[in-house]
Amino acid sequence: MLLIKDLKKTFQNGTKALRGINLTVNAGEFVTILGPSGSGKTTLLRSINGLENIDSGKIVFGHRKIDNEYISYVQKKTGMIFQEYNLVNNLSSINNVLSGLLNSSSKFLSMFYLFTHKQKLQALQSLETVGLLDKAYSRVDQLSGGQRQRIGIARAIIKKPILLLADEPVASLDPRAANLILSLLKKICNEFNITIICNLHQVELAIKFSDRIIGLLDGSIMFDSSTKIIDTDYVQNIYREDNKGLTF
Amino acid sequence: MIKKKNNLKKLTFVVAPASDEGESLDFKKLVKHLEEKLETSINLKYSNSYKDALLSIKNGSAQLGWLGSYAYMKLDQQNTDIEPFAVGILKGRITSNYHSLFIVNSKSDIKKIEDLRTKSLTLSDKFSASGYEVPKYELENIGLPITNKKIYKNIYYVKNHDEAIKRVLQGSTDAAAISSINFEKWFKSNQKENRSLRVIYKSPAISGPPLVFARNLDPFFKDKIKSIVLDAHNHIDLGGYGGKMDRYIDIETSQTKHLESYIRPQWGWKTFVLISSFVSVLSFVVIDLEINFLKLLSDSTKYLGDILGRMLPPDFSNLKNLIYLMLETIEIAFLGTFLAIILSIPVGLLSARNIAPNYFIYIIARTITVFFRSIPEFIMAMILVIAIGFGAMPGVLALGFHTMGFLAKFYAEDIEHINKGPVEALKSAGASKRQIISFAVIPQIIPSFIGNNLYILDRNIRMATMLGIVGAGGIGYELQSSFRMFEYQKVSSIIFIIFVTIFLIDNLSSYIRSKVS
Repeated sequence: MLLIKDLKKTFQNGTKALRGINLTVNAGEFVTILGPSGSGKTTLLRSINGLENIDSGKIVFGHRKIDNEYISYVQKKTGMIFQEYNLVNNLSSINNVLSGLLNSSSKFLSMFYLFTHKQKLQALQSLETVGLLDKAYSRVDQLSGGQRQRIGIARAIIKKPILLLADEPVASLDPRAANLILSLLKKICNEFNITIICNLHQVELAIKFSDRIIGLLDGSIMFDSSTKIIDTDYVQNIYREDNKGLTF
Repeated sequence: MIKKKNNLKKLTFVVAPASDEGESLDFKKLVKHLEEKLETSINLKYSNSYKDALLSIKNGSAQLGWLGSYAYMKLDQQNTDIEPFAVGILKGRITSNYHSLFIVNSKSDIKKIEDLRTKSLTLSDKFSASGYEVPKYELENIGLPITNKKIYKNIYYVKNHDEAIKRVLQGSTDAAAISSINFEKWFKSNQKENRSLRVIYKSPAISGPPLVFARNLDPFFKDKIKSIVLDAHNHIDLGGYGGKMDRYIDIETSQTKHLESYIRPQWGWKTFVLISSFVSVLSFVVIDLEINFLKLLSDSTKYLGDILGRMLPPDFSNLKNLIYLMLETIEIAFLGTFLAIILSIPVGLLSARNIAPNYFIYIIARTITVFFRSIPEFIMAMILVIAIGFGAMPGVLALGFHTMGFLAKFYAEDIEHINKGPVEALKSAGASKRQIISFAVIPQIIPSFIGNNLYILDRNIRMATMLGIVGAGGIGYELQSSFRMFEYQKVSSIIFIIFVTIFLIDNLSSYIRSKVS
C-alpha cells in the first residue's frame, strides 16, 4: 500500500537525514523502523504524511504518487501518534479524541466544541477500544503517561485511517506501559486491519511486536527483515552503544 | 424456505452459575416462551461452572444460553463458535451496564482496595467478568496482581457471587469481588442486615452479559430465535440475570446504548450560568450609563466628520521644533523607565512571597507597589509640577514611580511562578538564599524581565506625550496649546509624529525581544 523510492532529504543546516530510502509496506503489516536517534526515522515517517517536504524520490500511497494535491487525502487516511502525545492538556479526553474528526466536521460548530451525536459515539467507541471509556471526561493532564498515549491512539484511530504512523510512541513510558501501548497497537493492526509503521529504538520491543523490522542508520536502510527470521544478535550488534564504527 | 435440519427438535439452553438459581437468574419463562413459539422442546440446564457452560455450546451439547460477560470472549477469541445476539435490560434501567464491586464486612478496617495486601480475597470462577476478569485487572493496576501469592493471605475461588457474599458475612474471607447486580439484589432482599456489608471499590462499567447461540446454527433458525427473544417482553414477564427484565435488546443497540450512557453535553450548566450572568451584568451597565447606541451612531458621525475635515491636511510648518519636542519626550520616558527599573528590582524581590524574608516586609513591599500603581501619573505629575516647577523632572519622576509599581508586580509574579526544581537543587547543595536568587531565580526571569521593561518603555513614551499637558515637559504641551488655539491642522501633525514614533519604537522593541529570548 506504500511504496517509497529513492527518497532523499537534506536539512538546511546540511544534515543528510535520508540518503536514498527504498521501501515497500504491505497492507495490514506492522512494520517497525528501528534506529538510534539521529538515524532519520522521524524524518522518514514525517515525509509520508507531508509534515516534511522531500528533496527527491517519490512516495506512492495506494496507487498514486503523493503530490501537493493528493496529500490532503493521504492525511485524511493516515493517523499519527507522537512521542510526547501532543494532546491539549487542559481539554477533556473526549474533546482531544474528537479533535481527530475536525477534518470532517462542521467548521462553525466545531469551533464551539459542538459535535454530532454520531461523532460523539465514534469518540466513545475509540475510547473504549483503548480501554479508557471511563476517563472520557477527565482532563488529559490528570492521566498517566501511558493513558495519555492511549488517548493519542484513540485520536488517531477515530477517523478510521488505513495507515497509522507512530513516532517513538513509547520512548517516554516505563516498560510496562510501553508493552501495553505496543500490544494495543498490535491489536488495532490485527482487528481493524490498519497498517502500522512504528519508530522504535528498543530492539526487544521491535522483535516482540512487529511483523517486520527495518533497520535505519545514518539515513540509509541497513536491513529489512521479517521478525520471524531475524538474526537477533546481528541487530543487537548494530545498535550496540560502543560500536564505534557505526557512530556518526 | 430453508429446510430445518436434524437436531433442532430438542434444544438445550445452558446457564452459567452467576447467581444461585431462582429469581435472580431466571430464564424459565423465556425458555418456555421460546419452546412455544419454536414448537420445540428446550432443556434448561444450569451449569456448575462458567467453563462447562461454555464448552457445552462449543461441543454442540447445548445450542444457546447465557454465559456471563466475558466467558465467550475469553475462550473464543475469534468469535467463531459462539455468537451473542441479545442482552437484557433490567427493569428500571436504561443500559445493561453493571460493575464489579469489592465488598468487605462493615466491621472490617479495610477502607480501599490498596488495603487488601496481606488480606484474604474471594473471587469467582475464572470466566466470570465481574468476579474475576475485572477485579484481576483493577488489582494489577494498583500493583497488587493476584498471580503473586505473596501479596495475599489467601485467594478463594467460589462458584458464584451469592456464595462470595455469604463468605464475607460469615467472616471466612476479608473481602470479595462481586457483580453489582448480585449486590443490589441482595441489598434489596436483606433490608435488616444490609448495613453489615460495605463497598470499598466500584469498577468502571461492564457492558451487560448477552444471550448467545452457537454460530453454526441454521441462519434462518437463528433469526427466528433472535426475533422471538427481542419481542418476548410484549408477551410475557421476563426474567434473567439480576431479576426481572424489562426486555431484551439487540447487541448492537446495546453497544450503542452503552456508549450513549457516557455522553454528556459539551457545555455544562456552569457555562450557561456564566454566560447569562455576564450578559445580564453587561446589559445592566449599558442601561445604567444611559448609553444609546443609535443616537451615538447618528450624532457622533456628523461631528466626527466635521472635526476630521478641519484637521486635514496636517500642518508641518514647524516640523523641526516638533521633532525636538518629540526627542525630549522620548528622553523623559527613557529616564522614567530607567528609574522605574532601578526602584522596582528591590521592591519586586521583596514583594515575591517566596523571596521576601518575612511576611511583614512582604506586606510593606506589596503596599508600596499598590500605592504607586493606584495614583495615575497625571495626578502625580500635577503634584510634582507644583512642588518642583515646570520642566522634564516632574515627568521623569511621575513615570518612574508609577511604572515602578507595575514592574515590581510583574517581577514578583514571575518570581512566584519560576520552576522550583533548580532552587531545590541549589538548596540541596547548600547554597545561601542570596546565592539561590542570583543562580536560580534571576536567570529564569531574565527573558520576561527584558520583555516587561521594553513594554514599560513603550508605554512610557506614549504616556510622556501626554504629560506636557500638565506642564511636565515634552510634546504634550504643544499638543494642548494647539487645541486651545483651535489649530487642528497642527494637532493632526503632532498626532502623526507621535504615531510614527510609537510605530518605530514598537518595531524596535519586538526586534530586541526576538533577539534576547
